[in-house]
Amino acid sequence: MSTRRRRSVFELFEELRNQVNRMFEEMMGPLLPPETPMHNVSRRELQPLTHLRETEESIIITVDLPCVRKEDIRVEATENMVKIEAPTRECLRLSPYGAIQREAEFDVFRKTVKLPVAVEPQKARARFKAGILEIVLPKKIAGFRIPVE
Amino acid sequence: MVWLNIKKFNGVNVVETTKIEAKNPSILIGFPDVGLVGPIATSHIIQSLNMEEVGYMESDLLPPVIVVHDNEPKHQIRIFGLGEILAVITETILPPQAVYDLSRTIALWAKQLNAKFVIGLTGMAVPNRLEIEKPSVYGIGSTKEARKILQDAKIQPFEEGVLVGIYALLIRECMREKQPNITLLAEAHLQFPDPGAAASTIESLNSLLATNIDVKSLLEKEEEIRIKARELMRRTREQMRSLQKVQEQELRGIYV
Repeated sequence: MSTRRRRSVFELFEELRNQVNRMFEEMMGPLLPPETPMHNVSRRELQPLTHLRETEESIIITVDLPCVRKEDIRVEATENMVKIEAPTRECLRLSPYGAIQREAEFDVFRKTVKLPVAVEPQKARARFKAGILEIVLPKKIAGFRIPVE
Repeated sequence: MVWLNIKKFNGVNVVETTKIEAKNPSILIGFPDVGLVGPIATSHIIQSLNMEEVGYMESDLLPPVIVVHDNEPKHQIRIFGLGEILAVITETILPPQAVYDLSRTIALWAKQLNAKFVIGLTGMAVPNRLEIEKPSVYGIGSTKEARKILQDAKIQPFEEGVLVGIYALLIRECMREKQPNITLLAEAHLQFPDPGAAASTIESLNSLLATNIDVKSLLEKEEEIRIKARELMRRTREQMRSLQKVQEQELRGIYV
């Protein structure tokens, strides 16, 4: 006999809504204006501060991830996108602030970064130091050498 | 009876809600900039010294924002005081058009108070911040005496480079008004809140003002501060972009 609890219609609706939100963010996330709040109370997630810089050979993304353990960080990359998910060590309980006039709890950082050029995800490397994640993604075509005559 | 002293400057009013008794105050400035070093350090100093709120600054150039703290509306730019130390702090973004009048006002107000120094607390973006365990702090003194005091406090001089933004304007306006200015710059993350850099700044300030402000509790709250300061940091980044802060990273070799 299955021990799974049958979910209420409200829970199913909430799950569906979260799925739609997540799909929307995956598609539109990088295009959203900076006015978007950096948290989502219903999904208990925070958006980390990220910084992207470009060198001749690579794209370097740094992500501020306080209260996170290295082994819990999940980074997925495609040629054009990097997805970062990092559960926090413990539930972060933030006191009433701004639009959240009640205590809110968060337990994950989540961010999708759209890349300005194609990269080679299989050659990417990452390190985590002092709560900051650094991802180095080599560009797909770093540049051709043009002989000078 | 409520004591209120309104001092009108160029488009900015300094409202003293408590009589400022200090004879030659040092005025600390904590405005959002690189690594949010200024607001983080100043806020910790205010809490540690249990400084009293003694006034605020108001201007039509500031955005229509009111900060509510403990159910009490607060002004955007607040002034705190204790003995010979005053601190000016804001946790909101100052629009570029306001920073000119604001820095001029601070210089004029400091001069009027016969301030010993206006002390800017800020960060200096370093690309290898991740490799730095304890950020160094560099000092700029606007006068010979200020530079001597920095030297006596064993604060390394900021030898060469460019400053952009409100702290640059503060130095300029203080020089114009002959108001001595010291600016402390801690090695910091450009893009992320940096409580470690703020702690280093406070340690330098301790040797400068002979205070004994503990930074242990600040470092213990480092992660919490980084989480809570994300939104302010994001807006500060946008402001720094509009002020062309990137110029600070450029190598210049004009003065030979």
